[in-house]
Amino acid sequence: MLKFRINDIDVEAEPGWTVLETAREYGIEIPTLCFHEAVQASGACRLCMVELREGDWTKLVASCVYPAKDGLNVYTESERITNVRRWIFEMLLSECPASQEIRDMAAKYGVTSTRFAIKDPEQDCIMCGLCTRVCAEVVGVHAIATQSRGVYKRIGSPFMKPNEACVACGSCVSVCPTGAMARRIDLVRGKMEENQTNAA
Amino acid sequence: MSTAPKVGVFLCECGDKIKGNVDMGLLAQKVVETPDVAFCKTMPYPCLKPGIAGIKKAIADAGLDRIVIAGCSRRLMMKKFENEMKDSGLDVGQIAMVNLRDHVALVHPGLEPAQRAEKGVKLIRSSVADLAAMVPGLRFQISIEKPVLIMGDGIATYAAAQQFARHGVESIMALSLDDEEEIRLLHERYPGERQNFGRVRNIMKAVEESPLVQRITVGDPIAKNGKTGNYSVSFENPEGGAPIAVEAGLIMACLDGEMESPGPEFGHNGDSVICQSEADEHLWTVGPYKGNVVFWINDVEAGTPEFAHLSMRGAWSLGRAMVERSDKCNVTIFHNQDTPLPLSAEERRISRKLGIQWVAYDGKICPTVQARNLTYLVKDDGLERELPWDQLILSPVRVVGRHAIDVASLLNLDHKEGRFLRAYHAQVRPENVGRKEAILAGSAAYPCDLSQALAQGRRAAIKVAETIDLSKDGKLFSPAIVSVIDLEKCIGCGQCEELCECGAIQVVEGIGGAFGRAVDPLICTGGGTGAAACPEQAMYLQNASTIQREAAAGALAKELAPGEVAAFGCTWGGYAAADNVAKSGLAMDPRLHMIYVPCVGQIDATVMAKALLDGANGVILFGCVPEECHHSYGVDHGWSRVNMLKKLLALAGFDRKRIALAHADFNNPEGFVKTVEGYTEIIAGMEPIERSPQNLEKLHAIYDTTKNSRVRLLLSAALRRPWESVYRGAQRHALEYDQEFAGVLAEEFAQTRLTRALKAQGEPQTIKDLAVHLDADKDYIAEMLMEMASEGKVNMIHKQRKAHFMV
Amino acid sequence: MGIANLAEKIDAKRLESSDDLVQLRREIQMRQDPNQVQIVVCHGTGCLVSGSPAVTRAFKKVLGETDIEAKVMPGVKTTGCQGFCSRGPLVTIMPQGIFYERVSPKDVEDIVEQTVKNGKPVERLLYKDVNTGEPLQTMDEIPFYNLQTRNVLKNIGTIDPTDIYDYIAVGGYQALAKALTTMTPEQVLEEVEKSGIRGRGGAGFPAGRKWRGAVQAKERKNQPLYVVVNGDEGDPGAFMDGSVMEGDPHAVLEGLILGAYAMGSEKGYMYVRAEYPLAIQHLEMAMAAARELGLLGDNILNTGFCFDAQINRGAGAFVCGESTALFTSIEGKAGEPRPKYVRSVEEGLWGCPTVLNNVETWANIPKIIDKGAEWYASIGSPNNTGTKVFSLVGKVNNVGLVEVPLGTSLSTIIEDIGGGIPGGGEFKAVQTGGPSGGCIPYKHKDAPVDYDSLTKLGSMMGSGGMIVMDKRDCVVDVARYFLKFLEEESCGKCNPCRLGLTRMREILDDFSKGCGSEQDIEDLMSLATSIQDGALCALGTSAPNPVLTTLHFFKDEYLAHIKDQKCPAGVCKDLITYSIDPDACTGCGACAKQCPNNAITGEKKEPHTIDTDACIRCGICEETCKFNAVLVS
Repeated sequence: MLKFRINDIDVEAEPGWTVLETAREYGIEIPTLCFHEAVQASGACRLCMVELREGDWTKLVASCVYPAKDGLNVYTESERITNVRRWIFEMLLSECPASQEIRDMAAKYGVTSTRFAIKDPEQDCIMCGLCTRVCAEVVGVHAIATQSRGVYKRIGSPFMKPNEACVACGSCVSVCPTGAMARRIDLVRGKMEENQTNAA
Repeated sequence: MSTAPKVGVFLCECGDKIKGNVDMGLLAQKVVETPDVAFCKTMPYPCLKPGIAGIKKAIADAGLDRIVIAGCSRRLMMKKFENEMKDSGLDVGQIAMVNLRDHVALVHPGLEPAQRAEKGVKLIRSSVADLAAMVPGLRFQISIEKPVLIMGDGIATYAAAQQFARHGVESIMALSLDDEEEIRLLHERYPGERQNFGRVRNIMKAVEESPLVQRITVGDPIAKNGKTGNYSVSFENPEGGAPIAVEAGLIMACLDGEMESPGPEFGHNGDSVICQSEADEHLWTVGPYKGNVVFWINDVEAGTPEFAHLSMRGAWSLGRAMVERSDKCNVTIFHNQDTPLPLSAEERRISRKLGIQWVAYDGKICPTVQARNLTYLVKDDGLERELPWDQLILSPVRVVGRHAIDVASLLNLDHKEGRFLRAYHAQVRPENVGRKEAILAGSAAYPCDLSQALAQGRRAAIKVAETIDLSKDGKLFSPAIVSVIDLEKCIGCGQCEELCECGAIQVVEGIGGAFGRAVDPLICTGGGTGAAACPEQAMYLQNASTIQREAAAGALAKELAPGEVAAFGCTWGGYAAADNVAKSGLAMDPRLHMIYVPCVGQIDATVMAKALLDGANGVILFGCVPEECHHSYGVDHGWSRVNMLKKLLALAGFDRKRIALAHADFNNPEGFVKTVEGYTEIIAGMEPIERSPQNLEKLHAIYDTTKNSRVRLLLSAALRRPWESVYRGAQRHALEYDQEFAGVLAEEFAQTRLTRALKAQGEPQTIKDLAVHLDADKDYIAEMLMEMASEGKVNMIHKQRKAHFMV
Repeated sequence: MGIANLAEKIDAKRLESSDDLVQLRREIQMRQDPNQVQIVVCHGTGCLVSGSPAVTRAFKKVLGETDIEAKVMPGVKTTGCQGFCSRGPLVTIMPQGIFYERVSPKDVEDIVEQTVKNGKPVERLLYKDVNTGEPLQTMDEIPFYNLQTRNVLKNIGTIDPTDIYDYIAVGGYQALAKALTTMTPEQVLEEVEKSGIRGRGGAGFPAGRKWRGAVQAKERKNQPLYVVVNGDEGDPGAFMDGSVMEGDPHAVLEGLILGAYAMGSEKGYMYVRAEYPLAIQHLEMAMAAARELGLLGDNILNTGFCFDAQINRGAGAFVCGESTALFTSIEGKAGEPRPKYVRSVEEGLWGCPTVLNNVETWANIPKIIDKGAEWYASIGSPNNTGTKVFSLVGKVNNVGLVEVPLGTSLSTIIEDIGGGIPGGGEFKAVQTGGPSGGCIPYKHKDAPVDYDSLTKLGSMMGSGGMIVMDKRDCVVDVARYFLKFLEEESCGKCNPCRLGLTRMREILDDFSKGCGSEQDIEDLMSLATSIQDGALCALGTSAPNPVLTTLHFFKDEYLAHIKDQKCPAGVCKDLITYSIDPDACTGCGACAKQCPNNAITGEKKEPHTIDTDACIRCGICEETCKFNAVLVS
């Protein structure tokens, strides 16, 4: 058993647990976007940053991938963390203005407006990569992936064409935190018939 | 083994998502009261490492042998739990999930937390009953010791054999052609690829020299028997005499596509207008043509634009060879402007140097072939132009050859008229996705050039070798959920074999000379199509049997209030759509209670009848959108069974609408919610079925009728077959079939009721008594009884000169 | 006769012992005549583009035609980068060592005639001292060279990188033979630890400690250990590693093999960016030659030690120089970093213990083993031992590769070795550590260049890029440039880097247009801090450095942009105007001819004027004017 502290509360963890997992076990909330229990953590969204303190020395780490260690002193809310979160939310608000989920979550952390210009009002994908990880790790087919890099990064099937590898299971839609995948899935699985639902 | 099942239930709080909306205390309390539940625990996140550690501990401490996790989407989480629980001794099928979050906690804004808990309990109890009814089936080890048989004459055969030799795997090439013929055929199959023939010869040489490759010369294939690890295949003997029999551990097919000349609509005459394979032949036997040689890449016009790329590569290679060999030849490659040039920068340079012209035309107007001229349009100016030709070379028409189709059908590789062999049923289980690749290679699978065909052979061989490696390491096991046939019950009717699309069903010598059936577990996808259709219920899905489904349906039905509905949702459509309701911020009618099934085609009619019998007033099946079904037409099969239930309900005097089939797309939760509401309103608008003794008797009879062999055989005979592209509902004449089926149903339903009544009474009954008892027409009862008596199903005795019947 | 040709005469047979190696070296050396005339032409990338292949061809042609007495039959040798790139193509005539700069094919005849035949220098091609204008004959006399301590660069420019015998002749593989036959792996590791060498890739983590950690992890986890060369040098203006790989590939390889021996690794990777085709070619040739001689592969020097390496080409993503991104790239996945909370010496390539060191670090190892840790530790300062190669670029007279002991002051490097800035005067700032480093102003010119001092100044050592700026460089523009670079190169995995860098750049864009506010500066700093804190990998966490250091040292210049709408350096186009000084203008009309927008008018021989509205501020007039009459304000 590893013993450490989160927000001055004594916690215990098994080797191999992450700080986030331990915190959740103790009911301590840490926001996440790119984390999902079904897939390996990637530590990409940086909302789950927590501060480690030791005397004067402090450091921010992503709790979803930071392994629990003996004697850690973890804080889940601090000025430094708030600064990181605030800017991420502000940037996401301007980057993916179409996502209600992001607006709600940002508001929960006190960010309701953004200083940045909105680029594409229709954009709702936050590039968390959950869909691609689920497709690869859970479904095992790699029908979608990220393309390009940096600001040009996009999610989709190869060449943005319907992909035969897609088994149309919809796992990517289920895992998507913003609903962006729901609007893209038809580009991956190919066209559906017009009458999508009717009772017999 | 009579130890009672020990089911553990783990309730997920999912942070605040479930805990904040569901009365967890009440839920836990009710779950504990459920029969067979040996353990119940509420956890913040069972899916995270701390939670999983907790579950494992509980399994060890309480000796649990099956668990239910009530949390969120099984599509996302099940794999993780299955992987994590392996070392706790729980296999696939011993873990069930209930989507408490998306089906209960987040989608019923109108309910109180306690009411949500009540609904959650019903779903959990149903799942517990399902698991408790499970008889754990064993996985067994499969060993492959015999060599791999490569069939089909395709050029990929050699590449595959070479790969096997490199991997140290023995293989047998069963060929009807010799090497020289094989090379000769390459001209026809892969025009313009002569530069690669040297490579093919090298591969052939390597294969010939390898001690691990055995080569046999065979005629047409005759039969294939056996399972993975132990196949025997027989071929005709090309020299006459007894057929050639080959024993093999695995079989793979290497099938090449063939080429035909295009039709007369493009002016093909075999002389001045020819196709590429003819041009290839001419080039190497006679020499290059003189004058204006035009390659028309007419694939778009021929309706196969996907092959334009290949034809262009062929034209480029041929054209290049012609110009390099003769200065009297001008080559023009004439192509649709939408087809991009398939040349590398270096090749473009060579093309310029050789003076090969590339002319693109506007595909909106089909170019017209005239004597010595092609007229065509250019996009920019709308002006019709002419392209003179002395020799016109068209794209070949790519088809699957007869020999390839023979082999494919012997190996149950799917082939539809006019299509390549790519439509293999592979989308059911992700681990099956790569299977086509592992057994089928060559351009009959998908038209490709020579090096791709060789690469396919190599790749397929690598995959096959992986399977063999697993077997060598003792790690090759049959899947947990797989169809199994009870040979004592199997009558060898062959319905399952006809319905099975994966080709897993094998004929075995049965009792008394009958031909029974067995399943090749490595090929079976566990779809359950055959099991649900078996007239004798001799086939069942191990670890996911109909008995379990009945238990689940019954347990749920017992809990349902009068206005509530039992539903079955499939992984791909219904259940997935329900999973996504909460994500879209929608609410769902709380009266619907959904049970998970992989496919609605897996739901036996007995399961639907059981739900009605045990208390449901309405049952609905949610399958995929028609034509999008992931299994072997599971939606159509489901519909046939629902139809039968509707007939039975009508016979019993109940409303036909008490059972229904609906379609759902996972990405259309709005539509799903509407469908749900539509149906729950219908059921709520009806009086509930009064559970009077008469009605219960009728419901029982319905249930029994669904198990009747005659009814089941007739039903399964009418189910849609894998090779049918359109579902017609019945085999020959829709109306005749329906009437006949209705008649049989009525008969069997009545006879079932009579048998039941006689059994219940325990003493001989008169026709009149029975008619009153069953509330039926006296003459009809008399007719039925006479028939049953003649078949020996009832005994007729006379008492006081009146006929009495008893069983 | 060149040494390369000797290869035919020497049996290229496998070396079975260290004695064989000594024997081979002796054989090569015996055939070398120290008095033989040799023409050494630099074929480093800089000289290649300046036209050195044409020079080499000209030499071969002229020598072929010239009737020279057999005893001085000279050979032409091509070498890797000699470092003095701004003066290329460089030619040295041995044995005198006469050093010629900016040689063109038409000079070749003169050189052959005067120097080769008669041993006299061609004066016009000699390097002239910047201050005195006096011609200097040999490399040793030139301050650019004689103030350096060339250790890693020692062989580069003197040996033929494509010839293993040339490397062996100067003592190559001696260290390997020594280690394999007289030292245990533990002793090699201890030697590296004692040398105190710190990783030359950027962070400066002591190599010995890294190696030790990996060995421990390997033993604990019982997994294979991989050694990897990071040759994915991508910083703008940096070309040290490329030059080392091109000019002395065997040193890198030998270092890698020594590391593998010390740590018990059997497999190594060299990750080289595809934009260094010459480096890849030379490394491949080096590996093939080493394999042939039994210095690489199975049973090296018959000692039972087996090690092989392979080259992986990076496809030009800057982020793949980051260790974890480099690993994922080698593993065949998209080059995205992963969180590094478990160090790569524990879980690196394929999840196994991995030691990744930069090219220069590996190239140092043979020297450490050969000459001993004490020797190495005696160079530099106690915690910053050894020498470091810098690529000195920007507004500096002597652009090129410079190797100095750690702790050498900035002014020594820039003013003494680099010859100061063109036109004289103080340099404004120097950017160290590449795009993720920081700007150090002139006032810190005496700061010693070592890992710790640079970090203290808010910058970093990085891989050794050094970009010198003068007063005509605008710090806002420089910061913008680096952000733009990193924005394009961000892998896009984590939010702060993917989104934040663009947003920071946009704020700087506003500044350069004169539309910023002091609040924006605060936001910029706050955002920069959040990126430093929040980004996933070092690319992101260090990306704000150029902005933060310039903000720290040159806040006035930022404020000038915002408050006064002025760009003091005259760079930000929206904030400057071009005008013509009527007193200086001779009315030659050259500027008017060049102006792309016809904004300059004027009669001949009369002072011209610029129409500010039509002016697009391209600056061509300023470049064209010979009389410095175009003013920028």
